[in-house]
Amino acid sequence: MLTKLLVRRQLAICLVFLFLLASCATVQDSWNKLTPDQKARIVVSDLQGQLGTAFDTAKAYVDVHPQYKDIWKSKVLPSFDVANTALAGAMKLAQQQQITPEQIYINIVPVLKKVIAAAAEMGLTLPSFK
Amino acid sequence: MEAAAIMAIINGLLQAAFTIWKSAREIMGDKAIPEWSEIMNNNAALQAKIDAAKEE
Repeated sequence: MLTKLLVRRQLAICLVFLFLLASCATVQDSWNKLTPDQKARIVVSDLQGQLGTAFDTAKAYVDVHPQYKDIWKSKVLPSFDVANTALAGAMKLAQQQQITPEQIYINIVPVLKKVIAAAAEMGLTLPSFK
Repeated sequence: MEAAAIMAIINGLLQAAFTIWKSAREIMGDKAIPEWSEIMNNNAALQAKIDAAKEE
């Protein structure tokens, strides 16, 4: 009885794993078929969305914890400013196809990580940018 | 582990799952990929929020 249950569980795990593998392969195949402009729009809009969510989270946190207002003004807010300006620059370059989606990701993510580091100084853990 | 840390991890995992799901839908063609104008508007809107926060 116990062996049967174990076999069923292992079978279920294998099926889920195969399903995930097939899904990843399908997404990868679709990604390969996109144009560089479409890829750039997906990457930039995703990073922009995550930055916006992070800003709203950090702003709400400071509203609740006014003791961090100084760090917010001196470090966190400027880091958001730099990150958003960097994203705006990447958008202009991507529109003119002077930068690849991969280059956008490689160049922008370190700037976004500085936002996370600045927020951590207030004791706020922001989700990592992906 | 602190409750706040657990909440942050759960929040991070949920956000990651949502981001992957949203991007996968755009890649697969189930959802329209945003136009540059829309993305730039979002960037400008966030910049306005940042500037407003500086003035506070």
